[in-house]
Amino acid sequence: MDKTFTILIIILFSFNSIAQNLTGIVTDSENNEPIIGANILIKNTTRGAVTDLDGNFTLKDVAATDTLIITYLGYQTLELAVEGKSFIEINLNSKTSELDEIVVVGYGRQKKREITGSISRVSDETIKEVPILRVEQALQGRTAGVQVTNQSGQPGDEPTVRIRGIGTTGNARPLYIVDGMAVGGIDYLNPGDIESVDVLKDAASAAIYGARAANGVVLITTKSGKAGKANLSYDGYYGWQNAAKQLDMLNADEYKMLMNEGARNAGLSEPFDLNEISTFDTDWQAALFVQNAPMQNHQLTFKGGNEKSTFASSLSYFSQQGIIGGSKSQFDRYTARLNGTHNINTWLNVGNNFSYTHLIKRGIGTNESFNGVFSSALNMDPLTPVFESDLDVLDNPPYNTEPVVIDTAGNVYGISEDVRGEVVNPFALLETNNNETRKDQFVGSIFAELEPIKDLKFKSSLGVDLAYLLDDGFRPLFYLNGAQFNDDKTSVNKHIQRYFTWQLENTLAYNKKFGKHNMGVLLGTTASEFKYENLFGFNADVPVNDPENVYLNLAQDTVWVANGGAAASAILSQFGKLNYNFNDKYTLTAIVRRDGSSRFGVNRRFGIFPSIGAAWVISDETFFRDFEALNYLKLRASWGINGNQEIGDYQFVATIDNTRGYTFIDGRSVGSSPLFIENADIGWEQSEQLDIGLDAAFFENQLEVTLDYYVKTTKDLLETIPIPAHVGNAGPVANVGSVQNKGIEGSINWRDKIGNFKYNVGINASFNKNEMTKIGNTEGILVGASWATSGTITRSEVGLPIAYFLGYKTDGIFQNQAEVFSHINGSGEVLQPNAVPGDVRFVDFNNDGIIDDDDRTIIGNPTPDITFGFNAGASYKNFNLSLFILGSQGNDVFNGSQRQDLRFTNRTTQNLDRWTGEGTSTSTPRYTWADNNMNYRVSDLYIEDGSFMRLKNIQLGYTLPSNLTQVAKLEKVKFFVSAENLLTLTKYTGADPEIGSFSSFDIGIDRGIYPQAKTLRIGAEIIF
Amino acid sequence: MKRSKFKTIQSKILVTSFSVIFFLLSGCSDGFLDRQPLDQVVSTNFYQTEDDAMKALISVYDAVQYQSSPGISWAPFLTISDVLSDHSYAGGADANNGINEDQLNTFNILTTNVIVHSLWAKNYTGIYRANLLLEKIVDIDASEDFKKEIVAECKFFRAYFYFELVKLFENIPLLKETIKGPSQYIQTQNEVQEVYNLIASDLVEAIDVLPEETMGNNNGRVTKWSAAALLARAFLFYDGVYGGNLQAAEVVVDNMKALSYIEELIVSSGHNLIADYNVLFKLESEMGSESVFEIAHGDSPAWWDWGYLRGSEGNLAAQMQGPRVTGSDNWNRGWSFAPVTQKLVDAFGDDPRLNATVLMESELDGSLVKGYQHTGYFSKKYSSDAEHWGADGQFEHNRTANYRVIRYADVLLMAAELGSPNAQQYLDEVRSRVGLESITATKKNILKERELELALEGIRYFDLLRQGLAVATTELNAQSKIGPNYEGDDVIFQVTFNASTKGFLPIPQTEVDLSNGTFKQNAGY
Repeated sequence: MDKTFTILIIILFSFNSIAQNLTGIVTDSENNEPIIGANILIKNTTRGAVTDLDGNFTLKDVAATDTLIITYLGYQTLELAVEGKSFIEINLNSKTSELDEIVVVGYGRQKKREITGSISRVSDETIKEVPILRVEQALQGRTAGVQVTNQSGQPGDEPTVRIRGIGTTGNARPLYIVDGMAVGGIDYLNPGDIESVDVLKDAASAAIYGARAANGVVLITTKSGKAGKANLSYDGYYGWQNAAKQLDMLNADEYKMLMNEGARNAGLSEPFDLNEISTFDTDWQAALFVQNAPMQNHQLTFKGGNEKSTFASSLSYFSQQGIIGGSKSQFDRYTARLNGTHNINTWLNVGNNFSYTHLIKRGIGTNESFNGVFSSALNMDPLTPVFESDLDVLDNPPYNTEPVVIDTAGNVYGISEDVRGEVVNPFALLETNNNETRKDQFVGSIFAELEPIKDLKFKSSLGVDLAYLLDDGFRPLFYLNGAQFNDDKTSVNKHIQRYFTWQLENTLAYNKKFGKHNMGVLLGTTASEFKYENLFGFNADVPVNDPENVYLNLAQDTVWVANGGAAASAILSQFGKLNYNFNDKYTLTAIVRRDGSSRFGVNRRFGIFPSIGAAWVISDETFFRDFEALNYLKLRASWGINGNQEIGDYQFVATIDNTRGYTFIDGRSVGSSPLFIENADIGWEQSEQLDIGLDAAFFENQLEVTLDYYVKTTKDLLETIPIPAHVGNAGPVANVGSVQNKGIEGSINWRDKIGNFKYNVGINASFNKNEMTKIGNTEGILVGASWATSGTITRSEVGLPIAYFLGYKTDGIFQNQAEVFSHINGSGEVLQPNAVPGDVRFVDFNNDGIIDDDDRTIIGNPTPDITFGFNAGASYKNFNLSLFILGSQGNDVFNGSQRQDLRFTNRTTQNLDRWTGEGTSTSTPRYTWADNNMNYRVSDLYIEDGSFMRLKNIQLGYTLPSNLTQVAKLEKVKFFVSAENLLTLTKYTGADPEIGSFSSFDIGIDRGIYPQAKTLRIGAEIIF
Repeated sequence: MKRSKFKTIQSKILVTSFSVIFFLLSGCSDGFLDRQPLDQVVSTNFYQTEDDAMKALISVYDAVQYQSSPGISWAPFLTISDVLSDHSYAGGADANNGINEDQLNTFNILTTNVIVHSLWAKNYTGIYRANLLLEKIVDIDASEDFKKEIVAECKFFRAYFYFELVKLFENIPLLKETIKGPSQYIQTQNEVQEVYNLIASDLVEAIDVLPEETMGNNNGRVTKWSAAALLARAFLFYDGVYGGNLQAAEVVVDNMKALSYIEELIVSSGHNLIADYNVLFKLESEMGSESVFEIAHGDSPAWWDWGYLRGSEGNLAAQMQGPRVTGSDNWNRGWSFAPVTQKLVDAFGDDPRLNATVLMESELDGSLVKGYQHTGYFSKKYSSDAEHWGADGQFEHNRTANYRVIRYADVLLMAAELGSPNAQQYLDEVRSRVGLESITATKKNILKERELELALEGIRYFDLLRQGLAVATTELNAQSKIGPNYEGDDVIFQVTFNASTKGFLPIPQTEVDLSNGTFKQNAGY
């Protein structure tokens, strides 16, 4: 800046002639905000001016025929004739090309033009569009190569984020870096505070984060103030959430008819008299879903600053109630933030980012076969009332003998006479759920940046992340049914946990331009330590039955439990980055990081993570000038190695087990020996990735295309594997196995302007293929997730996707006895001797003449072939409209929301199309309570196409005209109305096809998933 | 000008300090990164004091009373040895319940038999713990005498575990120290001689150090005499099966040497025969004067966990062999494994020891559920009798009967067999206790005496094997004789000894698979 000023002063004093003076203002054409520091140059001269803090400028001696050239970084250069005016208003259009923007990279920022890897960016404007509770959700459908799945519809649940597929059987979560600080979780962050999210997808870009980067790195930058006028703004919305879909379940008459049939087919007497009119016909879902569950967000932001100091501070409140359970499934968050930068003198800058968060989370089970609230609603019979009010019933057991559940108004929840096991009245179940987590978290960092000689920058930053969690639990007396009750004692527990991380980073950067050569060198060190402590207490027999006011001291029993522990880990790293660019055309980047982690055994404590990348802007070559439509073309290639250290602490050392013992004559003595053998060789999982990419722009950046191809191989997966018994102890976790992801991802964006009408459309898509390439145990198999009472339903096997659905293949329904007899093996024996017409025909897949467990094979793949997002926006004068669609193609869902192993559970209306006689159905077997053929064993009948396309958001906004707002002394007033999840196109018959991963093996299994809500919101943005 | 100079100084300071930080961080990293669990004791900081060493030693004792392996199977050595012998069938609730025992009983043993694997795994667990303590004891802060005794006890147990392994499996890997990491997982099987030589040298070393006390006067810990007797047993088996002497470091263990150790035992140990054979297996005789080596079982802590039987201190053999009786104050719910053969009952004839050895169906009160291969005879030495019921916990896990591994009577008979000048006296001593007349101390008579005196004590099968495969085949096949109380199909008693296996068990299939081809399966499998 001072250089520009010096030149300006020289210019102003050198050409002191007599033409007229010109004043003017330069503003942003989008928001009419003044642009500070824009350059105005009189064409064909060296004379010019720079705009001040209010966007104003003055030029002396301007001839009427002169032309001005106005330039500002990030904006399109404008040429404007003076035409004899003395005051001129200049609107600059921002250079909206994504290809020219500045992106955040590890330890710095870089022009996208110079990027050699694959980085996706989401800006604050995009984040604002959808009401998100957690930052991860901002990435959903916006970034090619990043698959974000909401784990369920419960407020506050962490969504599953997978960057370029699942690369590990362990923790596949990416690394989150917020303002340079690596943080464990990001639920503390207020999305409204975020300036940008940059996702480092390729190994070369991520390599600077070394042993933690294998699952990709998400760099989050919070908002900072700008020099200029201070402003206060309010952003907020209020929304109403409702269930998007209800499954069609049998009504009372249909239910009784089907149950009778099930009993009849089993040779049992029919339980119901169909002529009797049912007292109740409860629609459990309709009753359960909360109507207009509220969701709201309010934020005040105060930003500003001058050339010396800038600041951005905010306060926010977010609250969301779930559509199931209301206040039992609720998330509240209060945040405060203060970011600042201060220019102490010409060579020293200091700054800080402080945030404090208080959050309260109450949750229920979201995807559970046993004791799930929603799964109970789907399986509960319609004959049971929500509330039992019949005094004759209430005067009898269990109501008059057991601690049945009563709501706050004194109503007694109904108990089914027929449905047993874990299926209970979902309202009563909710009433007994009293878990709450409160968290207080401070994340803060301070930094100092020194520039002792030009272009040499030393930056030192210290960050801390301190969180206290308090979990409350209260177990009241209850009686849900004969299998689910607590008639003994109430109990209470409290669990307090403290997490503390500090991180110290020092970097030294030198950037220099020699002619056409542009060099950048970065050297750095990081040290970080993580500490954890907890304290847990439990006691029983609390006389108070109010979960809000239950404390350990009230408990009167003597069964006190108290325990607590601690853990710590540390990382120490050195890294370097070399960037070389020639003539803005050729870029070469090399990164190397050496990470030492306390989590690894002494033999593999340090790892080296190298990467290299190159980029070539082909469109700058002289031979390229002929292609007019294609104005920008860049080829990128990169390679690198990243690590994954998420293996838990102390895996390299054997803990001593004190449960050994021996009875000597004087009594039993305690013995001790290691629980498992040490593995000093334990190290990180290693992920190697090659990325080749292409960026292109057509028609002066109106059309932009980005394409990437990658191959990512993760080796040394950490698993506990069987070891020879002669070792003499259980085996440790060891590095075995590998998995490969390869795919193509790309995005296309188009924008245009027709008069006052501006619009843009964009689409992004990712194709990923996942395959296990090695499993280091003798069986070559890793056992995955299980479902209800059926045991394992997913597993990993070499050559197949990481968690495929395992089960029997079926081949229709036996229509008659002849078909049963003709389903035979090679020796003519009937394969399913217990089958009768209406039963499922299973395939002897391995052709060994019998149908048994060995015939189970891959029946589905929960990982999508393609995930995509489509967005469109349009604005006309003061109106703007945007919509956003996301989708997933080629993924299967295991529809396990119905308990097939229990009698009397309700069923979907799909069962009305069951087999009832020859030719009635070829896909739904007969209904029977004596399932001798095991029709309901895990088979492809449970597998459904989980592909979906969801209108995630549609929003209409209106900005009040500035003449109106100026009357009220306001800078900007905008209102919007918005709808989320308005429409979902899917063939999936369950409640919601979007089912998160509960582990790398537990993907796409619907055990009665808590579905996502349909939301309608109104909101406002006011800048004072 | 002035400012740029100032900046240069600044930059020098800066670059220097940065370099210092950079190299300090690289240098000091070891301490910073060396993190050990904060709320748990770990192997790297545990082995410090005498107390730690004692706890580690107790973990070795713990393994010797293991009768199962987690996730594999129940396999009390005592019961399984007798199932292999001509004295017991497989038994259990039904044919499926005892399917693995049945394979062992009929010598149709699959390499995947879980009992076989369990026995393998149990002994290597013990060997690991003994080896580990032998390695750790060196740096433990303790007196030399203390260390010597710990070492001697570890070596005694290492020898015990190896002897159990080698007489069951013959071709086994010999690990004299713990495996240090995955790179050492793959091992090869050693020569049989090497294994026996280690057993001999470990025991000779133990004999020189362990206290000259009876177990009963040594708080139930092993003694010099336990080691001497175990060496004699190992020598007899080795000599019988392979022929020849053992090399215990510089000491050659031949017939005379083995004998001299137990002659000393007989003369100066203080061990005696308990006068009444009928109380030998009662609580009152536990760690008594006849117990040269006895493994303790108890009911503390009261055990409930079916998922981890190793945590219990109870005697699982007693549970397995007990009759399935309910509603009795004298017997409770055993699992009727290892029912006693008619052949053994016949062998006793009117020998008074029959009553103390075999429990007759007619002695039972309450209601008996007859199990698989019900012969009407059960072991009385280790059974579900009221005296050994645990005080608390799941009764199956808490039977308190101690396992008499080597009795003084056994020592007397071994000394006679090894050619003691006092052989006749020793044999007479054993027989006269139960009021039997003297018979000539021939090898045949001594072995016959062993069969009856030591019946259902897990000794018979190995006594047969060391008499040669011809004797073993004749005797083992002869057990097919069906008694009057038998119920069920004839065919299930059919036993044909598979001499091509030499009586050894197969190397567990899992171990062969994990060995990457280095383990050779035993002959006959």
